[in-house]
Parts: sequence; C-alpha cells; structure tokens
Amino acid sequence: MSTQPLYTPPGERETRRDRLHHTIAFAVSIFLTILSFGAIVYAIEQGASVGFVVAFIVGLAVVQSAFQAYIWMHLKDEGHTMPQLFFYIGVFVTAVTVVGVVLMSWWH
Amino acid sequence: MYIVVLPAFGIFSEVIPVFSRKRLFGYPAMVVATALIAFFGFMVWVHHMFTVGLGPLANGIFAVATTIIAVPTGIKIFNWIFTMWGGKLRMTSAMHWSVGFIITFVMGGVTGVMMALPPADYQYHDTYFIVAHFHYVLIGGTVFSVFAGAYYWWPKMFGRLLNETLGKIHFWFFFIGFHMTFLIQHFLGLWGMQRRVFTYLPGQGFELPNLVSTIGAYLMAVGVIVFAINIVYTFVKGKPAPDDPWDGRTLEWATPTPVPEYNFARLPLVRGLDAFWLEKQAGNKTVPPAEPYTDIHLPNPSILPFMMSLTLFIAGLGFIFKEQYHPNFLYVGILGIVLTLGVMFLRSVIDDEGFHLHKDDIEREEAKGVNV
Amino acid sequence: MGLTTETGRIGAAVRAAGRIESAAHDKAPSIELATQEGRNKLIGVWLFIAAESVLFASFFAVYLALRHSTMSGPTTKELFELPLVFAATALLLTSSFTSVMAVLNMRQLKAGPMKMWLALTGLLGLAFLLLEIYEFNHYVHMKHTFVSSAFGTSFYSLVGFHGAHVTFGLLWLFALLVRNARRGVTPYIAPKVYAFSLYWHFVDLVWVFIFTVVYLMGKVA
Repeated sequence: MSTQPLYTPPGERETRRDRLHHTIAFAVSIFLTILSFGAIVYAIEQGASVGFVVAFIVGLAVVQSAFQAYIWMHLKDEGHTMPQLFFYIGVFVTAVTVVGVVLMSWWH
Repeated sequence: MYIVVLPAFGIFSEVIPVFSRKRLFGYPAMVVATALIAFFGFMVWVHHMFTVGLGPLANGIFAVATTIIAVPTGIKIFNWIFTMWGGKLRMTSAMHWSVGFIITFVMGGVTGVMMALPPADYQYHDTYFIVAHFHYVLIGGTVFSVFAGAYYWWPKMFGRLLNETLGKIHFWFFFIGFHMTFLIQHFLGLWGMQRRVFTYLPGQGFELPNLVSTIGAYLMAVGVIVFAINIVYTFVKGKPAPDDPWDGRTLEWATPTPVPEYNFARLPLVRGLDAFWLEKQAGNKTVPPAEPYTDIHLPNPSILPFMMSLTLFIAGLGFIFKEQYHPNFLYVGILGIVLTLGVMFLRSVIDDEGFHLHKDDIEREEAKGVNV
Repeated sequence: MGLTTETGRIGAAVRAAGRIESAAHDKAPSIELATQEGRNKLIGVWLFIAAESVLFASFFAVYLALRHSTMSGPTTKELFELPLVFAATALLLTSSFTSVMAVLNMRQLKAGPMKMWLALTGLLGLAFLLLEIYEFNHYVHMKHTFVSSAFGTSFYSLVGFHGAHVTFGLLWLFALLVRNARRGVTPYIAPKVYAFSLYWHFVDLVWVFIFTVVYLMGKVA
C-alpha cells in the first residue's frame, strides 16, 4: 500500500480528451441557453403556443442541468454510486415538492 | 417530528434485545418501517395547519399520509413487544425507560391518529389536547430514549456505571410525574382550555386539573435532580465499568473501556447481525479481526468544530433576542455569523495532515488489553 | 488455533478481492479521490447538494404558487429585462466552465494554471453578483420589494437565496486562493478545490432553472 504512489496524473491524451469534452459541453450549454431565450423572444411572436414554448424551455433546462451534473460534476464517472444515489433522491424529492405544491395551489 | 423520534427508535432497538436476551424481532420489518417513516415523515406537515383553510384536497392528502405513518410505527411497537415476549428480561434502569416508552408512546400515538383526521382536528386544534399529545410522543419517545441511552451507554462513554438504584428512583419519579402532568391535559383540552395562552379565566373548572399538572411537573423535576445526583455520585464514587457490563450483543461492547481513539485496531470480522453475540455463542471472547495490523491514520484533535457550533449558537441567540428584547441584539447575531465564517476560514487555512499510529505501537497496546 | 487460521484465510480473501476489484477498474483514482479523507469529504458535499436541492425545490414551488399574487404591483412581464438576464446567465455558465478547467489542471498537478482558472471563476462570479445587485436595486425602485407582495417575497427568497449562495461561494473561493497561494497541488488540497467546484456547478445548475422558470416563463405566462 505504501510502496505504491498515491496518485499519478492522467496522460496528455486523456487530458486533451477531457478538455475537449468540457469545451463541447460548454458550447452546447451556451447554445441551449440561446435557444431558450430565442424561443421566448421570437417563437411567441411567430404565434407558437405558450404551453409548447414553456414545455420546450423547461426541457432544455433539464438537458442543460444534466450536462452540468453528468459531465462537469463527473456524475458519469466510476465510483460515483453514492453521489448518484444522493442526486437521484434529491431530484425525486424536488420533483415531488414542486409538482405537489403547484397541483395543490391549482386545485384549491 | 418523526425525524426527531427515529434516533430514539434506534436506541430502543439496541436496548430492548440486550435486556431481553433475544435478537430484535423482525429485523427486516424494522428496517423497512424506519425507511417508510422517514419517507412519509416529509409528507405530513400540513397536519399542523388543517384549520387554516388549505382546502379539502390538501387536507385530505396530508390526513391520509399522517394516518398511514401510524402503520410502520405500529409495526415497530409490536416488534419491540415481541422481542420482549418470552425473553429473559432484566429490568435495569435502561429497560425501565424502554418499557415506559412503549406504554407512553402508544398513548401518544393513539391521540395522534385521532387528530390526523381533519374534521376531528377542528375540535382539537389549539387546545391542551394537542399539548398533551405532543408531549406524550416527544417526551415519551425522545426524552425517554435519551435517558435509556444514557444509562445503557454511560459505562462505555465514561468508564463508570451509573447507579442502578438511583436510576430506578429517577425513572419512577419522572414516569409518574410525567403522566400526572400530561394525562389530565387531554381532558383539559377537551373541556376547552386553549394552548398558547399563558392563563385562563376562573370559574371554568380548570384550576384543580392544572394544580395536578403542576405537581406532576415538580415530580419530573425531582426525577431529573436525582439523575443529576446520580451523575455526580458516579463520577465521584461510581464503580469502574467492565468492557461489557450488560452482556451486550453489538460491536461497541467488544471494545475495551476506555475505548481507544481508533476504536478497532483491525476491522472486526462481522459474521452477521449482533456480531459480538454470535461470537459469544460460538465460544469466543472477542470478535476476530478481519485484517492484519496496519498503521492507522487519524485527524488531529481540534477545538474548531466546537467553536463553530458555539459561534452559531451566539448568532441564533442574537437573532432571537433581537425580536424578543432589543433590536441591538441584531449586531450580536451578525457578530456570530462573522465569527462562524472566521472559524470556517481558520479550519480551511490550517493544514491538518493528522498523524499516524504505528502498527508496532498498536500491537503492543492491544496485547496489554483484553484481547489476550 | 483454528480461529486464527480461519481469520487469516478470510483476511487474505478480503485483501485479494480488493486487489481484483482495483485491478478491474484499471484506472487510478483522480487526485481528489486518492485519500480516504478526500472521498469522505466529497461524499459529504454530495449529501449537502442533495439537501440543498430540496431546499431550492421548496423555494421554486412557493414561487410558482405565488408569482401571480402581485398585489397590483409590477408583474413579471413588466419587471424582467432579458438582455440583463442573458448576460448574467452567460457569466455564470462561463464561470462554471472555468472552474471545470481548474479541476482539469489540478488533476495534472499544474498549480499555476489551476489558480489562474479559479481566479477567473471568482471574477466572473463577482460580475454576476454585481449584475444581480444592480437588478435588485432597479426592482426596488420600481416598487417591487421583499414585502410589497407575496410575489415579491417568493421572488427575493428564491433568487436572493441563490445570490447568497454565489456570495458564499465567492468567500469560499477567496479563502481557497488565500490558503493555497504558496502551496502546490497535493492529495490534501485537491478535495478542497474539487468540493468548491462541485458546489459552484450546483449553484449554476440552480441558475439554469431560475432563468428558465423565473425569467423566461415570467415573460410569457
């Protein structure tokens, strides 16, 4: 255990691949953001239904947050079983809270 | 509320099997019940506010969730009773508190189901019936468990056994005092006495029951004073505790007293639930280790976490007193927050690489201890 | 006697299983996960993030329930200005990207670039915070305050709480940069930097939902 070095940095190839992945994720994030803002500014003017546009931008937000969680917060990496568990429980309780309170206030 | 009582349930699930000389009845059911209580515990909070006008849908959903939570709780109560059933009971102080808990908590649980139903809750809301209910579950559940745990783990924590006679005196004063104080408050509530008001008008027949309540409160105070005397007596003249005073079942009783800072020099080999008991059944004096001796890495002792909680306490005090006494207490609150951040900064800046205990030293220490 | 041999055998089996497992993974753990302390610390951060997401969920739910209760004050449509929100979003997204670059450099043990990217993250975060302060100040002048309506309370609770998280993150980052000014990258320091980056990504993740649910939906609904 003590003879083995505690840590060896990743090779140049691996680093270049990671850097590329993160840069792509960043570009996609910015693109999705522009798409959301564009949908609100232009799609409504063009006569798209409000319900559709709202569903569209919320969908984009989910995609973008998945990018954050899986690529930038490394949830996709190995050895992240517990963080994944925490994350899914967090997402589940979040969804129940938001949907529950919204339904309660609508049906009141 | 339910999150408050779950650790208490855990304490009783440790104490009751040891003093019944039986394994915990229905262990998997107990685990599932705990998870269900934790889960449903998040969906019951509207039962505090059925009368504010959230409407029948919200009230209905939360009433269902609140009544459902009684099911896993009932499973746990029955399992504790079945653990004791046919067991070889030893009525130590810790066991007194555990049995007292079952009686008291069931009474609190029954009134809980009553007020989980919104139409009935309109009658009980903001009366002493509610006060009686939540003292039955909070004191009967949480405080009793704290006392049970104190008598049970005191020898492991402080190396001395609390006096059992004083412990039983403590229990009986507290138990009788508790029921005197709060049982009658159910009736006071049903007769119409409001909570959250510091007094009541004369001539409504509330005087005598309240006097009974007050006497009960003094009896509880006597009980707690006996406990304080017991603590002092134990520190001055208490018997040194053996490593395993209760003939325990779980791993903590396999450690020497006082417990070394690394707990186990080598990870113990766990062959099943109640690992220490299984080894005793197999004729072993200790739990066998699962690995050879290695160096142990430990963090340095630090005062900073304590300072962090102290500064947060100052902050909380300031923000509360700002409303209650004087606006200037706001600055006390802000000071507390700033100090907290400062301590957090210190904790980050000071490198704590910890220290290593070398395996030769550990081996020598262990050889001196019980594991010969 | 039988016990000791058995124990030895089981212990050897456990160790062998551990070796097989680590060989199967083939890859050495990242520097932030190299020590037990680091692994424990980051599990703690993830637990914290799970708890925080529930907290933010409650604020989002309250906001969605109360956003139309404006007490005849300014509505979301009149208040929000999308160019400002877009600028804030771009700043925060970019700061999330720079913090991930800092982590990449940390894994290569490059202390200098790591600190540079972290400092850049801090500057972008500060710019975001200043924009938000300007924005809130603007709203207060439009008679949209914390106590003006239920909408105001829920809005400032949600967005302001996020802003408080950015503020705390900046203090955290400042402390990190100060403490690491003269230190290189070690397995002791790496979990601290990584914990900050996880927190910062989470703050960004919450903002993604804030700009969608609060600002963009406020413009149409």
